[in-house]
Amino acid sequence: MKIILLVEDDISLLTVIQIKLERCGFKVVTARSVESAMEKIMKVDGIWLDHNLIGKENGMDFVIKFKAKTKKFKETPVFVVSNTSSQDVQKCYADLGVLNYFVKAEHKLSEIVKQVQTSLS
Amino acid sequence: MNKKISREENARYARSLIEASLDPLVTISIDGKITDVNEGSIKVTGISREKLVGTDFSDYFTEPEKARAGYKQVFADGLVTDYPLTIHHLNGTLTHVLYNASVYTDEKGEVLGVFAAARDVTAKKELEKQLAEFAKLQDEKIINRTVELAQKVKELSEAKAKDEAILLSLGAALVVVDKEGKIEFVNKAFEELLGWAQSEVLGKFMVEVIPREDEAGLEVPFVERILSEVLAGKKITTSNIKSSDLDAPVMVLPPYYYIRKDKTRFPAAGFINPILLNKRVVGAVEIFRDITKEKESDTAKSDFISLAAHQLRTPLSVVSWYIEMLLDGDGGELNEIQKDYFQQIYNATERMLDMVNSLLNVALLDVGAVIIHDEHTDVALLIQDVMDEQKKDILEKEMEITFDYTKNLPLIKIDPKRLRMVLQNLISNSVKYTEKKGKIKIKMSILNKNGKEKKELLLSVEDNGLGIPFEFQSKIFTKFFRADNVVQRSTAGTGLGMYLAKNIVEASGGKIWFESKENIGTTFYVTLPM
Repeated sequence: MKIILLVEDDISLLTVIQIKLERCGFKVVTARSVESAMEKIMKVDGIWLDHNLIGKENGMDFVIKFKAKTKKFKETPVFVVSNTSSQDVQKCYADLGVLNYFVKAEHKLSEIVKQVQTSLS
Repeated sequence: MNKKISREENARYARSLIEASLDPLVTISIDGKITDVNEGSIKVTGISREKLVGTDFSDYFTEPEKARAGYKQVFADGLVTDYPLTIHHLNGTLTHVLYNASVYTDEKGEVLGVFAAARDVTAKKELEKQLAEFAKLQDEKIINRTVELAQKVKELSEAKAKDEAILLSLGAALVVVDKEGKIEFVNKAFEELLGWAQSEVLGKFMVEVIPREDEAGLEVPFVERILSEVLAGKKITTSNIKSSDLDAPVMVLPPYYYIRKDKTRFPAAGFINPILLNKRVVGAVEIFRDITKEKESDTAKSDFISLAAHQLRTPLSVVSWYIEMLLDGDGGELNEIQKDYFQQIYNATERMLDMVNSLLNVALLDVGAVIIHDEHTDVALLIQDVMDEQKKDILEKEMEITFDYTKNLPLIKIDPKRLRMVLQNLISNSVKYTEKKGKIKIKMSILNKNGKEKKELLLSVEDNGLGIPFEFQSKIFTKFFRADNVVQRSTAGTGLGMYLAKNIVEASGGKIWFESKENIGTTFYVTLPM
């Protein structure tokens, strides 16, 4: 069973995404801050990442720390799923090597989950 | 006898000599009585010889006292020369004369009287008088002219002082350059803003003294400086610049930065205007100001808008994703009524999200915070993509949609995300506002303007739908405008789509327009520079 690290600060969204992912056959570990997420990165197959998180650090800080900590980054797909539609933010993620960027408001939950399934299968 | 004859002859000879003179001559006895006169004297007085002889000589002058004084002087000194007197004629005319007079004696040397010869100087006097008057007149004229000039000088220097004061107190920095781009004048605001004193920069090249950078801190090269182009008489065609007319002000729009003397930089906005003399560029005037505060305020505004949009979207995402779960049966089986109710909530949430997105885009556009990322874009592919997005609605309404385009069109440099918004608006409007089984024709071709080099891409989206009522046609591109005939059918829609489309197309250097007839259909046209 593939393990997804779900990093999302909003509890309602965290819950609905977790349920959907689990229903689609993933094991889900959750985190709401960069600090908490960093503790759980070693055993995961993919990362579902929100940009705005609890605490001072955001999703970009997480990616930078993740890349610095382990070589696993290359083989671990990261999906940024955020309501921040700023092109500058998207470009920064792309520059960091994160190519999957979804604006929540523009997609159905099932669409994004489908993309995650395709990437990890 | 001989002697007697000779004396008479002598007297005759003397008289003939006296009469030969045109000037008035007179002999006067010791007691001041006239003893003899010539014709000249008779003419000048209008009195016959008979009447003159034996009378007092001084009676014929305007100033008898002066005449007698002169006469006494002759006896005292033996002669007078150029003694000025005025003779009056019986008819009242005056003759100005200068007298030369001397005593004459008999053979024994005894004084017999005075011989006086007058020289008429009336004409000379008149001339002198005229000259004097003329001189006086000239003097007056010169004085008047001098006063006028002094007044003019005063006015001019006041006007100049006023102009200088205006330029100096102008809040914006002002710099005047000659046709080579060398600084001829800067005002106080320039000095304060850039830290350079006028004396330090006069005669230097503006583009060297004040380097300009773009947002990323790269220096704008000399030839690309608008000032250089204006001086070269070039028409400015950069899409950033509003005016391409040579004599109209040329805008320098942000993001541009000028570098101060101390190497710090500030965002600037202003104009550059060529100075034209006989239709030739002889220099340029640039006016600019520091827009740091406006920029900060714009950044604050766009940050706020982004934050507000993000905050609004999050709860909407929660609502729509939970309903999606319910509709997918993830919360257990729903009956048909429940499904319908949730679908209604879901649709409304989607509309709300659309509105938030549109508002965000418009708000960002209004504060100028939209950053255009031009890329080489395959427009045909983009159109296909947008058509695919609408597939569901098109199939539902059993519509026929076609796309004709010239094959192998070159890629064009444009922001694909922005162009996608335009296409989404045009195509989705056609789908939305056309009845079931309607037709939509999309066409794309190259427009070769007058066979010139400048080519444009022409796009058209034609439908046979509701059309735009004539009375609303002028408002189609207005923010929040929705025509009556569409509002009656559907409350969905923000009235922002066409406003956005127009702004995006025009910011890309293109044009957008339409032709429409109510109940016949609408065709929207877009041109884009290639």
